[in-house]
Amino acid sequence: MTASADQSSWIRRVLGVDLPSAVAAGVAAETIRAGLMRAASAVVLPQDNAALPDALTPLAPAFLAALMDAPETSAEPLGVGAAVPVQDQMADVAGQLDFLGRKLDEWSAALDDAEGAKGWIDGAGAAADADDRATTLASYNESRERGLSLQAEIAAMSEKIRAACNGVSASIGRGA
Amino acid sequence: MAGDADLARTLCLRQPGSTYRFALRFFPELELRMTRTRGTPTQGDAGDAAFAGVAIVDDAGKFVFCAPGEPRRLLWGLSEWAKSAADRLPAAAALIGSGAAPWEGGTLLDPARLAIRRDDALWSGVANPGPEQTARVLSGCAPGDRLWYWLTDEPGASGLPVLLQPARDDPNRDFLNALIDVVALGEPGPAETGIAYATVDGEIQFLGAGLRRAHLDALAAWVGDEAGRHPELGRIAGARLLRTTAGRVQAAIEDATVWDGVARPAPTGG
Repeated sequence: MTASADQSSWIRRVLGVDLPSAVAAGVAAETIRAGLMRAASAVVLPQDNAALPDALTPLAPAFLAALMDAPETSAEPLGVGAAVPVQDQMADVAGQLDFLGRKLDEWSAALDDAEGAKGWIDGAGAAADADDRATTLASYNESRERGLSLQAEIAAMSEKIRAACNGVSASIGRGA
Repeated sequence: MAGDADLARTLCLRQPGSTYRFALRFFPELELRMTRTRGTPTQGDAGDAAFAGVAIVDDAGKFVFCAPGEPRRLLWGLSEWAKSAADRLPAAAALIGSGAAPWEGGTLLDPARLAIRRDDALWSGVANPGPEQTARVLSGCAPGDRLWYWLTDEPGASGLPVLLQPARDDPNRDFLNALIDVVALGEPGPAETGIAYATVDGEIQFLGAGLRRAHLDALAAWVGDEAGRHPELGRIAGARLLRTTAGRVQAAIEDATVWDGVARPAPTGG
């Protein structure tokens, strides 16, 4: 999976959006929930996982409105096979996206570290002390390994987010 | 407090490019006020505030506070306010990583041309993960209240397998992320994150696609170690980890025997 700077930036601020002004004016909880369902129904998931955040952007205002002003409050124990409340599923997606954004930042930092080390080895490091070169090479390898590990983690998280989104769509479809 | 609720909403609902008037007072007590502005922000009346000016939100969602005076002192004041407020107002964590820039008033300049000072070290102590913090969250948690969770079976040096934070108070997860940043210093293993809540029976249900038996064991071992000193942690006893797929519960991971010896306090509210 690749992620542009724009996407990474979007993920960091995905939940930092304005509520519709009507929410602050004290709209009924049912209206807020209905707004969330409408927004969720309008989401079309893209084929490319890297484009998932952009596709989910329109959900954020309605989601935040619901979380703050019309939160899910059901408290029944859920058994195997039970449907998870849709708002909880959406909260899961939002939480996963937030977590993914943090991983993307880590990944980006690991890539920067690796690039920096490689640049030094290929450039100024050519004339440097052998010990310094060995230390920088070890740092490069460590950053590269970390980057690859994070890349795999990010890909797996993206799949999880997609599956969770599919669950939300299915739940809305069956009126859960 | 209505003021706190308004400020929490202001902090949680920031977006890049938003602008606010702010006033930071040191006396008689540390107090931060922020009001969303529309259009071109201008400096308001400082009154008796130590600092008063305009705050903007940068592209990364971080605040930059612009005011006359020494920016280091402004940052220090903001970080001290965040530390003092975070227990009652988790949204204060939204200030972590904020910048400050000298600004002599008038009309706000292009943010790109501001001389912004930041100091990550100042924010240490806003979020203090530990059994006390988790116990405090649990003590105020009524059945049905949604909690963000972070859960790992490899806690690392912090020893903490779980972090909890009320979702309604922290919709952006600013405070949860601040807690995670602290435990991350101890290099924990991979973690799961999602939503949890107490049922009418007082049992905590964790929902998530990646939950495993090892998470339950780690949670139970930690609660067993800590509940003597922090009885509210006993509310986790009997927790059910619900592995979900496509919006349904696929498996329930539970085991009464792992909670032997841990007393569960009576549920809160309802």
